[in-house]
Amino acid sequence: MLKISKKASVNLSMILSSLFFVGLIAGAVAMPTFVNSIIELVYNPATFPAMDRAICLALAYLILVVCLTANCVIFALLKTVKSDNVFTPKSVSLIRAISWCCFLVGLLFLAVGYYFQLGFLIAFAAMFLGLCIRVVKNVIEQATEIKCENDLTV
Amino acid sequence: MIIVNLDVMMAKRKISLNELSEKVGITLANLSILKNNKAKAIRFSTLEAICRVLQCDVADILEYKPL
Repeated sequence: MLKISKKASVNLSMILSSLFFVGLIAGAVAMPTFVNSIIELVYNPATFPAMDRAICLALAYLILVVCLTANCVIFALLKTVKSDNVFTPKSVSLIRAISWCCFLVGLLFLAVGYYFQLGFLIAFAAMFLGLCIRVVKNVIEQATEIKCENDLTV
Repeated sequence: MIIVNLDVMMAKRKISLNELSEKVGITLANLSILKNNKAKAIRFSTLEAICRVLQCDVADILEYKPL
């Protein structure tokens, strides 16, 4: 099995995060076309109300903004990992922020589910991911406490 | 709470932090943590070494103060 060093792994994650960022920016540009094609796929575009179309677009942009925020937080977290300073309260709050972003995306996809049923499935996946990240946050929080106690043991 | 009176004993024995850290065999940073009451725990081995170097009892270094 391919095994890469710890430093290379962090660098790879940072590159992936950057690529994801570029992808999200590209998504922001292509969003109206994307939303229109999804609407055309499910509904008759001629009868689909303009107001609902606007709501779908707004929801898509909101999801994009939350994803961008989460991506920036992930990048900040990777920077703390790179500087070998991961077990700090700052990292815990960053992970907490990512978890809340997942829950928020889940809620937004719940609203998307009103128009496209697939949204419910994505909402469930996003919320479950949020829950997993929250558990990781709890673990890191406890590890941070143990590390702090260990550091202050002379 | 537990108060560390290391600075008092050091003053009594006229010993500097540098000298004590060398004789006890712990880093200056760790000794500073202990002296400034920032430590959360102390190993028996550290306590023993400090008592040996400062020729004192544990009670001379550690003191219990009810909150």
